[in-house]
Amino acid sequence: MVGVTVETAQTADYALRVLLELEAHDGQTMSELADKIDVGRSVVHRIIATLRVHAAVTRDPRGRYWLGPMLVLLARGLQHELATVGDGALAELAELCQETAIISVPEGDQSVVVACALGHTGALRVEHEVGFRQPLSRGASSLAILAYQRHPAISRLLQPEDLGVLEEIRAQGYAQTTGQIRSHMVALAAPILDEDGWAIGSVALIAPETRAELLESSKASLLSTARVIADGYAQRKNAQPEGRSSK
Amino acid sequence: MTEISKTANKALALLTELAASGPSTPQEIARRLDINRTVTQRLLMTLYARDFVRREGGSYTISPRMRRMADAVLPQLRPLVGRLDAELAEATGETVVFKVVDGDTVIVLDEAVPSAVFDVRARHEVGTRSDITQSASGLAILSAMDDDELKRTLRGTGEDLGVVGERIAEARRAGYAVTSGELQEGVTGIAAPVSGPDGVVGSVAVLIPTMRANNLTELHRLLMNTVTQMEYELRQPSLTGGADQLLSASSSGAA
Repeated sequence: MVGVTVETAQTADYALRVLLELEAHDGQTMSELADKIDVGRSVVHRIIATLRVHAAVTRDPRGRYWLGPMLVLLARGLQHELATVGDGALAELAELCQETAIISVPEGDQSVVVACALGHTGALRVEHEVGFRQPLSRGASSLAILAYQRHPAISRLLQPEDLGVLEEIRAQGYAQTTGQIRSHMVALAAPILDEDGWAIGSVALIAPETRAELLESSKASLLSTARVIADGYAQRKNAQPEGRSSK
Repeated sequence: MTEISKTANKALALLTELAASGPSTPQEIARRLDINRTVTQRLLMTLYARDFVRREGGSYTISPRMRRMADAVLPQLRPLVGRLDAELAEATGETVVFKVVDGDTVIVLDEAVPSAVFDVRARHEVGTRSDITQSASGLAILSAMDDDELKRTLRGTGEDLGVVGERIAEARRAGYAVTSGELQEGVTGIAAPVSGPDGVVGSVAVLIPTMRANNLTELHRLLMNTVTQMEYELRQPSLTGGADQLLSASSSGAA
């Protein structure tokens, strides 16, 4: 591609780079962004004006720019990335253990189910669904995430005497609860960790109380599924650090 | 607003189109946006190279990676606003919106609609923009700004400062703003500003069909409870990393 062709696509690319810069560090000023993208102020001015028309960025009263609501709308119909990466492994786990398996991710003080696979075909099984929310302080799938949070702020979600629970989870590498979200249900959950060892989500197996012992025997499979998903996610993230070549 | 970039504008329009229509071929996109195919191809390649879109077969879709960028939109504010807006919508039985500032306009960041079905509802969808002086939400935000911020925000609006100033002062005294039928006919809005450690971050509003807007006292009480809770949570360090960014970005020298 030469001449005009390159030049025209480039303006669009500047807009994308402004968004990526703000994703890495939100709330920058126009001159900070001009430096990062390495273009003149007038170009950045025009790019930001364009992004603002679409509500892709907003300008606060202090003159800083932030990612805007348009991006939320773009992602509305999208699966969570952990679901995309983990769907296959989750289905295998559910099949192997013959129980319901879910992937959850943290969102504020809650965890949200982003993928669900039903393994048991019999009459008695746990029905769960994508989008289900629960406090980050309750249930195995939440606690497995909470035990591996970078921020010490977790203490405000738990009573001081309950903090020991998190230590126990870290010591054994998984969380186990009975009836915390629904009575007569047991759950076993393992954290999905990033490269630094912080939880980006969790995988959990949930079963009726009557099959609690069978669930015990699924620990190893659960832990290895969590690792497979973590690896898949890391690979995907590292695959495109700075754009990629178009094939 | 100032001049915009036509190419960047088309790229963003393409993303919005693709999100709305689902997987599409370049031909379909070109036709829907009424731009020629060469330009469409070039835009798609640009978006593809930055992983904003993916290609499957001959079709393009929004990349799953955009989920991560969406999660980075006001990461501390959005989850708590979503949860507390929904609670307020259930408690009041009315639509609740949270708006953020963009220059001299406000944009809907979150909308919560009560679960009760079949009723007259005021709706105000995410991404909708209006002038900051035109709604209860905007006036509430203006009432929480300091004089510098206020001056800078209103500079370009050509508003009669006397008139707006009076309304802002009124909202400041009351702690909330009420408007009726200014932005949407037949809709009454009652809004209060929400401030974080570095100043106002937006406002939360209850939108009521004016025909049943007769118990504002109770709505006002519920609204202020929500604001108190939001401001309390905004002052807590975030669990999932957002606060660091929000705080360091704002405190590293406001211009």
